[in-house]
This record gives sequence, structure tokens and C-alpha cells, in this order.
Amino acid sequence: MQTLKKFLEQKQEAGFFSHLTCKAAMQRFSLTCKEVELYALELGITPLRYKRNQSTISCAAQKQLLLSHVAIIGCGGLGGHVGENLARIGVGSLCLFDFDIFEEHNLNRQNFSNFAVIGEQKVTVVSEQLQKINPALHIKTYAKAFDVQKDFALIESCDAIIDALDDPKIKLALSLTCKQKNKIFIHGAIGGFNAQHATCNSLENLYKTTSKGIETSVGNPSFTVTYAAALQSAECIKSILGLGENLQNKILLTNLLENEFIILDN
Amino acid sequence: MQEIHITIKLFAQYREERFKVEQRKIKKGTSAKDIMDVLGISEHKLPLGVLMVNSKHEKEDYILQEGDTLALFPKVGGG
Repeated sequence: MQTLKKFLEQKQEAGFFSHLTCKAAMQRFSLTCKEVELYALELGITPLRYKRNQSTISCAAQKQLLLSHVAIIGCGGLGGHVGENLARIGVGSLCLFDFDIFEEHNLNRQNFSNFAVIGEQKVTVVSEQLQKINPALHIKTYAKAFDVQKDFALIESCDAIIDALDDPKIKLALSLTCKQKNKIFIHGAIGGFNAQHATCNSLENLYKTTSKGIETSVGNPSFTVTYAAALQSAECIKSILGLGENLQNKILLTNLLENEFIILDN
Repeated sequence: MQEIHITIKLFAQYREERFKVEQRKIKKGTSAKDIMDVLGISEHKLPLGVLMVNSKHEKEDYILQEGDTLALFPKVGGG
């Protein structure tokens, strides 16, 4: 019988193979999508959907992403968009937390929200949509409020943890635990035209009190959410792959109204 | 009464109906919190995020010194 290696080498075109080929390999060799893609990447053959990632993401890096595991805490504004970015670039496993259901007032900004899914659990909807984008992706969902003390064990094996929460109190607690456990922690927060980011930092300098921020009065427009989620996604991928520089020991404060991008020492 | 000169920089929503940057003469012994009170910046109205003096994180009880630059950023916590 033909080996998977031979099969993929025959079907590949200029170093890429289509999802149709992947499905045929899955059936023929009784493998999962992730197993086929992992094997192909080891041979230097990349799934066609990543063609436009190269050379930003090399074949070896693509394999590293497929083997990586990221937790997204909160699937509202930031979480839904970060989830899409990570699924599209090729992260292999995601762990999603959110206790909430989609409501009409989410539609101004939250990824995958629309009138058809109002009333449905956010983690369920987001997971289903991400699976359609990236069939190799493994997703674990938790339809519950994230409790740092009780739930950290569920995400402790993750390579990176995305702070897509909307509560400064939990954001701060999560940052402190991640710092203590030496985990990659990607902070993002938004309010009106403003965003803030930090990577692998504890958030004491940003959240001195447990009260909510300006977002309770100024709200969260779509573009601030997608901007902030894009930055968090880039920080996450850079941190996992060890590329470039991240915002460790820094705080990035963005004011999109007046185009100010300020980096402070944390 | 001894006076000192400081610079106050405000960011984001704090600028609304206030200013971006202003130089002020204040009484010696004035704290960052005193300045926030004068400006109407409180936990109830646009809570405080980052407070820096000369680009260093400080607490609200910091006593301002001659030539200091006080920078105030509102708290941002949405997700």
C-alpha cells in the first residue's frame, strides 16, 4: 500500500496540498486532519490555506503553531476576533472560556454574532465557526465564568493565555497567576477609541482598584476591538514562535481618536 | 507659601472639557490626588488607570516636586 509520504508527495503542488487531498489522506490512512497536516509539514509540504502566510510563517513555524495550544479567556469582542486570527494563522489547539450568550447589543463588535445566533452560547458559536475556518483545529469550550483559582489548572498546559476578559479584577488576578507560573500572558483592553496592551506583565500599574474602566460610559466600537485583537494576536504568535520583540515589561496605550501610540515601561 | 511649577498631561477621556497639557503653579506639598480632585478626576467619574510622574509609575499620594510632569491615563478594562 502506498505510504502517506508518497501520497502527499504525489499530490502536492509547489510545496502545497489542498484540503481535498487532506480529506482523501484522512480516509485512506485513517488519520485526523491534524495528523495529516502535521506529517505533511514535517515533509515540508504546507496546507494550501497557509500559502499566503509564507514567508512570514515558515514551514517549521507553521508546524510549531499547529502543535501550540492557546487559551482565550472571554469570547466577546476581543476573544472572538483573536480566535479567528489564531485559527486562520494555524494555531492547533484552542481552549475557549465564556459564560455568556449572544445578545443584540453585541452585534456592533463581536465576531460571529448575528441575529441568527442571539440567545446561543458564545463559546459554542465561536467554536463552530472557527472549526469551519480551520478543520485541523482542536477546540475545547467551557461555557462558564472563568475563576482564576478554580480554573487555572484547565489552562496551565497552554503555551499562551489571551486576556479577553472585560473585568479588571479578573484581568489583574489572571496576570498575577500567569506571572507566578511563568506563562505567556497577552493582555488587551479597550474603551471607546482607546486600547491598551501588555505581554507577560502583571497588571498592578494598570488596575490599582477593582472598578470597571471608561468602557462602561464610552462603550466599545468595532474598530477599537479589531485593532486591539489584531495586536494581541500578533503578540501571541510572536511570543510562541520567539519572533521579533513583544511588549514584555512594557505597556502600549493607544488613542485611535488622536493617533497616539505610547509605549511606557511597566 | 512656597510654590512649585509642574506640568500636567492628560490622556484619552480626561482631555474632554479639560486640556492635553498644562503648566501649573501649585502649593508645595500638593499630592497627585489633590491635582486629580481639582480636575474632577475620581473613581466614580472616569476611574484612574496609569499615573506617572516623570515617566515612572507612582501612587496617588505622591507629593509633587518642582519640575515634575504628572501624566494621567483613565482606566481601560473592556474586552
